[in-house]
Formats: sequence, structure tokens, C-alpha cells
Amino acid sequence: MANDFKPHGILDKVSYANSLFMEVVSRRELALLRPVWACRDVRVRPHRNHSFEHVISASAAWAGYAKMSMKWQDAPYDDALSMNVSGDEPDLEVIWYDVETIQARLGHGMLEWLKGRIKVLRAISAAPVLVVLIGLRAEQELELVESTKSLPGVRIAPVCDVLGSLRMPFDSRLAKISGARLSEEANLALAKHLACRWLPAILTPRIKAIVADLDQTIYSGVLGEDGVGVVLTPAHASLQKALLKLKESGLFLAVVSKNEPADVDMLFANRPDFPLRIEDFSAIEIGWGSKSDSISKACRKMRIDPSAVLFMDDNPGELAEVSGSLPGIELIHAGTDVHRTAREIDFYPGLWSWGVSSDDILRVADLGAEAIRKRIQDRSSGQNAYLRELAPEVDVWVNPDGLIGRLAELSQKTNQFNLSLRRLDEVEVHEYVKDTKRFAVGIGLKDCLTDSGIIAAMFGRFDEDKVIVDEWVISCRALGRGLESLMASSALDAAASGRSVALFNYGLGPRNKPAREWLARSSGVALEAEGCLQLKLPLLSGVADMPVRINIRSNERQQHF
Amino acid sequence: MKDSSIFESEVARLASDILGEPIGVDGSRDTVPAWDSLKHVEIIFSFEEAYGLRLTESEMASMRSVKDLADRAMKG
Repeated sequence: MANDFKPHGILDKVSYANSLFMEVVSRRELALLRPVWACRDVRVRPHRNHSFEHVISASAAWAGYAKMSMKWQDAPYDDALSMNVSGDEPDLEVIWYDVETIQARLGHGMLEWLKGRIKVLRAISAAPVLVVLIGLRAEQELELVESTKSLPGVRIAPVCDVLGSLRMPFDSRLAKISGARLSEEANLALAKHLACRWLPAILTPRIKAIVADLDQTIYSGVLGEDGVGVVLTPAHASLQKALLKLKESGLFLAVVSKNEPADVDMLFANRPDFPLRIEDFSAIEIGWGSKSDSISKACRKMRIDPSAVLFMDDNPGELAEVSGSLPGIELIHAGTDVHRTAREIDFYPGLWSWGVSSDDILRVADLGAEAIRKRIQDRSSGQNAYLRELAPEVDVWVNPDGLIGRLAELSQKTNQFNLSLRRLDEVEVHEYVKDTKRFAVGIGLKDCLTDSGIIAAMFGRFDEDKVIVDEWVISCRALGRGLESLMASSALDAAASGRSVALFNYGLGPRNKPAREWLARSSGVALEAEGCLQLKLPLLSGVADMPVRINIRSNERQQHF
Repeated sequence: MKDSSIFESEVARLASDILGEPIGVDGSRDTVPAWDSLKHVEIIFSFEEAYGLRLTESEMASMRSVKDLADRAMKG
């Protein structure tokens, strides 16, 4: 989600967000908002049985905030959901369906019928599928979520949550006039969820960290002037709790502030009423340098790129400085209306996710253990001594159905150790898992300090006596332990044993130097911008003698060599 | 109390904002192609919100012009 807000455009964004995140925003106000920044076209092919134009028109302003311009194809109303598709493949398929009629007709068989129609669409299109069903009961929606989990790239929107929170989700006057029974309140709520949560969570990588200023941002007052007596208003307490909740969903929190480090330590030590504690922050940069420098340092500690960061500050000048120095960073102005800021965070595109995975939760703890690993490394006499103390365990999962989402996430999100930058989505990963001439491997890593979860993925195919590695990615938080070659070797041993050579595809991206350096080191050859390099197998000899336990966890289907 | 011309100007501006094109006080569904049945509902939504009114189903269907809506707003 690259940021196209230039320094001089910060005020444009602040003004746009101020209108968008008022407590109540009307359709007319939404209609008048036009983003002045570049938006990415997103081609959407709908499959529907009623009019949704009232939602779509209202969603344009929200989508603009998410830097998207939705291009909806025309689609007739089709109660049968025939899935007659034509033309170019879209970026997204959307099933938008009111179940009222089909429920009356099919009764208990409705969910199975819906699942069947979703499966048909999944089979004929490789684009992600968003399913928005109007009129389901909460337990039916949940059942459908469960029964479609095995379909890659399919997401059932939590419509019951949205409509259940409204005073009047349906408006009986409208069915005859507009062919849809959703109230205006529901139209606006669905538009906001669609553009700020559901679509960004499907189409763009999730933001990885929120970096917050302190003074006048997460509390009221200036630490240097008010000391520990700065004020935690109820609104600031809510804001801090919201940040905490995001941390619990796997986002890093960090602080950058122009203050004295000792003052900040004293503040958190003396304010037990603050929902946020100092240990909740994965990086803390306090000093008088530029905010962009401090954010860069914090990012290095968190091992993420600034383009994966949302920075919030009360000072538009600081936002402008950061935006100018760190292109791609996301920005929120923490204005005097703290409730408004909280609403903006709640719906900031790229923060919401379709579910908190165990890997999301492990991420924050894993980074916390990094400082201990570094101390062990510094005092160890060599790599084997370091590994003996760390006691790493590598789990190798070959063609794991249950990890398709995570493997796609690794391919989509990993920037630094990403060899060919293929950015595979769930449907493509599913094809690697199911195709007997290809393979997908997920690698889990744990040590005596933490379980890092699934942190690497390899995607390849067989070509006579060779194996071609299309993609090899390792999450940046698993780097630095010297296990890259061992993991690659283990993946190839498990998925493609008996082969004598592996051809590694590689490409050039703005940040994938670590992956390229690994391949150059492993091959002893200087890399072109892109290409394919041959490595002899096994990649590592004597793996069995290394102080690393390797577990082959799964090989769910026979390989056809 | 506002006279009808003020209501007509307000409603014309409201319809212009929703349709994304200028509409005069004499604008109607018969003269403005963009004012189709779907946009009509959105104009009604915004009209109700602006004047704190709730139209009946038959009113929603029968209001066809800036003037109709301005008269309804004036009636309260």
C-alpha cells in the first residue's frame, strides 16, 4: 500500500480524513470527497441478485482514502448465481447476495447450495473471492466460514457483525423502489467496512507496525513541561486500548518521541493508569533527531521496512518531514479530537485482518527474544556453539493444505529474503500444493527461547532430474541465525529427494538484497538483475551432524518424479 | 420562515452533490438523465437526512423533481 502523499499533500490527507472520520458522515459529504492523490484501479467482477449501487457509490470516498479506485463491472441480477463470466480476469470477484428468497426456497439446503456456487466461482477464476451475504443468521454465516476454509482465496464477509450493530439494518420501503432492502444506515456501514477493511485485507499486505508519538498523541500534555502529570483523558485511554488490541492481533507497537529518555522511563513507571506499558513497545526511540531517523532506527529493530509502518503524530510538520524522508510510510494525524483519531485507527486500511493466526501472535514475542539471541551469539565461540545453546528445531511441511494461507502471506509480505518476488496468492499456492509436478514447502522454526511459527516457504516444480525453485522466502525475523542454507537444504531434501541439481529463480526488488546475497554466496556467482542459478544438491553436506533438529512433519501426497 | 425558493435552491444543491453534476431548481427525473431510479433513492436518503424527515413508500416513488422535494421539505 504505497503512500503517494507528498509532503505538501499531508494537509490534504488530514482534511480528507477529518471529514471521513466524523462521528456521523452523510452520503452527501461522502459524495463531495475526491482524493487528490493517485489511486490504484481495482477491477471487480460482481455476482449479485439485487442492487448494491447504494453501497458502491458510498464506498468510493472510503476507497479513495485506501488509495483504491474501484472499477465495478456491470452485472445482471442472477438469483441462480450462474457465474457466467467473460472478459479479462478481474482483481477481485465479489458475490453480493441477499439470501431471503433462496432461504425460503431451499431451507436447510441453502448453505450447501451457496457453498457449491462459491466453489464453482473458485474453480473458474483465479482472482480472490469476497462473499457478502445479506440476511444470513450469525450461526449460518459462521457455518459457511468454516465450510469454505478449504477454498483458497475465499473470504466470507462478517456481515452479521456489521448489520447486528445497527439500529435499523433493513428498510421495508426500499425493496420495491430500489430492489434492495438495506437501510441507508446499513449501506453506509457496509461501504466503510468494504473499502477500509475487507478489500484492503484481501488486496494489500497488512501494516506490520504502528509507530506513535507520545506528547499530545497517546496522552494529553507535554512530558517535558508537565512531567508525569500529563493527562490520560478517557479518549486517550480508549486510544491506548485500541493500540493494545492491535498489538494482540500481531502488530508491533513502537514509540518515537522528542523527549529525554529518562523522562519517558519515569512516565511509564509512574503511570499505572496507562493501558499501554513500556514493555508493549517493540522499539522505543527517544531523542532530538528527526522523526524519520528515529522511525528508521525503530524499523531496523523490528526488522521491517518503513513502508509497512503506520505513523501517528499530532504535529502535521512532523508528518510532512516523515513523509518526505520515508516514502511509502502510512500516516495518521492525531488531532485534538482524540475520538476521531481512534475512529481513523479503527478503520485505517491495512490494519484489519481476516483472522489472527498463531503466527501473528508469535511475531511480537519472537522479536522480543532477538536481543537474547544476539547475546548468546556474541558470547558463543562459533556458529555450532551458538546453535547448541539455542537448540533450534526446524519443522518441514511438504504440500500442507492447512498452511496455504500462511505460505501465501509469506510470499506476499516478505520483502528482504524473497528471492524472485513472485508474490503468490492463495490460489497460486494452492496450485503448487495440489499439482503433482510441483511442490510447496512451509518451514517452522523454534528454539529454546520462542516458537517462531512458520517462517519460510519454498515453491518449486520438477523438471526431469532437476528441481526448479520458483520462489524461496524467509521471514526477516528468522534471519540472522545462520540457518538459511539449512532450511533450503531441508526443504529440498523433503520435497525433491533424489534430484541432483536445483535451479533457483531470482529477481531484483528494492529490498531483497539479503536473499540475493544468500544465493550469490551459495553459488559463488555474481547475480544479474534477474535470472536462474544452478546449485548442486544436497545444498549442505553434514546436516545430520549440525546441532539442529529437523522434523519432516507432513507429506500429504505422493510426489510424481 | 424560509420561502419556497430557498428550499428549492437547497434541494437543487443537494441533488447536484449526489448526482455529481449541476442541477437547476427546475431539475427533475424527466429532464436529468443521471437522475435514474437508483440515484433517486440516494437523493431521497440525503433529503431525509438533511431535513430530518422520513418519507412514505408512496412519497418516495411520487417525488420526481427538485420542486416536489422542496414542497415536501417546506411542509415538514
